[in-house]
Amino acid sequence: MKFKLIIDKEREEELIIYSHNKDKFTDEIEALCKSRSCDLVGYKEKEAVILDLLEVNCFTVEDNKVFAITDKERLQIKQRIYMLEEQLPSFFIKINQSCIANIKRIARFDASIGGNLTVRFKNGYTDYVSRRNIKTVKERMGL
Amino acid sequence: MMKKYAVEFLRRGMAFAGFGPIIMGIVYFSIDMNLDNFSLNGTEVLAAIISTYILAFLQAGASVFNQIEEWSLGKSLFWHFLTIYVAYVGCYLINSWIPFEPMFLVVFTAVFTIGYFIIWFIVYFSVKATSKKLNSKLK
Repeated sequence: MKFKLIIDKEREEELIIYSHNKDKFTDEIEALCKSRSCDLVGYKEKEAVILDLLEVNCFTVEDNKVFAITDKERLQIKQRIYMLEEQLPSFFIKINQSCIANIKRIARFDASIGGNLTVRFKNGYTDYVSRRNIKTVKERMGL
Repeated sequence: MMKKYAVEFLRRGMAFAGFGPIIMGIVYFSIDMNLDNFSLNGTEVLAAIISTYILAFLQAGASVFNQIEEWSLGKSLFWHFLTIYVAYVGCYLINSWIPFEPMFLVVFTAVFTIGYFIIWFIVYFSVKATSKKLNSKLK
């Protein structure tokens, strides 16, 4: 793959990739680009941490607060969930009204006894896909 | 953690409770269109509205039982079934849709149980098939 950097202070900063397919490399570039654009910061008590989006399993709402769930910790986010939806890279998908999941961090899908589709992340955290979002999830997963 | 599920129960219940009286109204309207001497007094109408509201509230709210991670599959299914069954049988008895007689209750319970598990099997295996397809895309 060729690499070309053009420094032009007159133009809006933009990153365009010509690739044969969407893969881990393009996802990482996208995450890096989005992180630079929106600077997502997570808070644990008073400590602020810049989020590595590839390490986030999902963003979820609990008691009206938004949290980023990683393998090691849960960090509070200042943005509202609907704002995150617009800012996050394409490998994040809204699975229900209160959760945006990282497709790359999903371990498996299961059927719950109530007829819901549940998502188990690689760290063991689980959430469900609402009926309203099933169609979008299937499309994004290539079904 | 259980507070989260209690709040979700209330949220879902409140969101869908209003559909109970609406569906009841449509059913009564259909009956009225097809029976010559159909009528209800004020007490019966009020009882029907309140009971179907509670029925819809409990049915929608009970769906949260299936998402309580701390509960086993059997426990979730048992409480979901029990809540729905009590809501339906109570609503049917209050509105005199079935008489308060042991034989009718036994038949109602049998039909309700069979119907519940047929629907459960269909929904569960349909979602199971979807989860299998999605899992194949994860690999």
